[in-house]
Amino acid sequence: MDRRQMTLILSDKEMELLDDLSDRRGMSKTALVRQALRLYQSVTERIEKGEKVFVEHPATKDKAELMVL
Amino acid sequence: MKTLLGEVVLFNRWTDRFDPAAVYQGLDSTNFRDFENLWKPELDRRAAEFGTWAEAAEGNTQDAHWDWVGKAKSEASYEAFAVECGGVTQGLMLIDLALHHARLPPHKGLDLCYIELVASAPWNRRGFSDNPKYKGTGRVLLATALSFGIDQELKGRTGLHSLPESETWYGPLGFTNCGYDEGKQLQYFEMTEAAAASFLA
Repeated sequence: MDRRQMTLILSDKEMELLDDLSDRRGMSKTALVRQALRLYQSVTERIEKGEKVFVEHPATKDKAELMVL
Repeated sequence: MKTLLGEVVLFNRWTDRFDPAAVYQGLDSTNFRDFENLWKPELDRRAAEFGTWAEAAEGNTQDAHWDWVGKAKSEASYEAFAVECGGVTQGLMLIDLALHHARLPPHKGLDLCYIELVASAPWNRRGFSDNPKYKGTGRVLLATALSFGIDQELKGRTGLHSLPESETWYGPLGFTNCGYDEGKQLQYFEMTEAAAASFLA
């Protein structure tokens, strides 16, 4: 697979978040950013098609719509 | 963009020999044309022999309604793969890395490689044909999914919903049957990291 390199400039807080998430998700920061891009792309496509994206509480079944700014 | 991932072989039951085949990431007009002109007419013809979708399992044609072309183009997050042999598309697979998570411990909740669609060409299927041609297309595609997932640091965690006609295929390969999924109305199967390592060993 062709791959390209880029420099990512993050604040301390953003870097801490990236470190924490990559640790919790069991993947490198690069893989985490790739996954985040795929998810953001998928959510964006669905919203652009007029679909709504919800998260649902497992017990109460309360739904909250996910908004993409 | 279509990229050659590697060379493999498929066992040709008609000649009793192994034929060279190629695995590609990404589909092109050749694959779409093969599906529309070679696969779909065969699937539709065979599916018409059965009264219901459930009965179509006998003819290994429960996927006759799958719209490969539309589906492959519908989501940019899908990764598509093809196995070609003898100049013809012998197998197709769509995977999604974005929206699914492992259900089995000890990695429950972590990202996994979800196989959205996977199919061998109709003429390679037992039940569809009395004399199926190539053997091994499904295993090649599964190995491709596992390897791609590992490359993306998903460590081989792989999930899929199986058509009833294919349910018996996944268990012996190392998938765990996680039970009936009401949302999809299909059985959900998942391969753990350990099972994936064992399959690829």
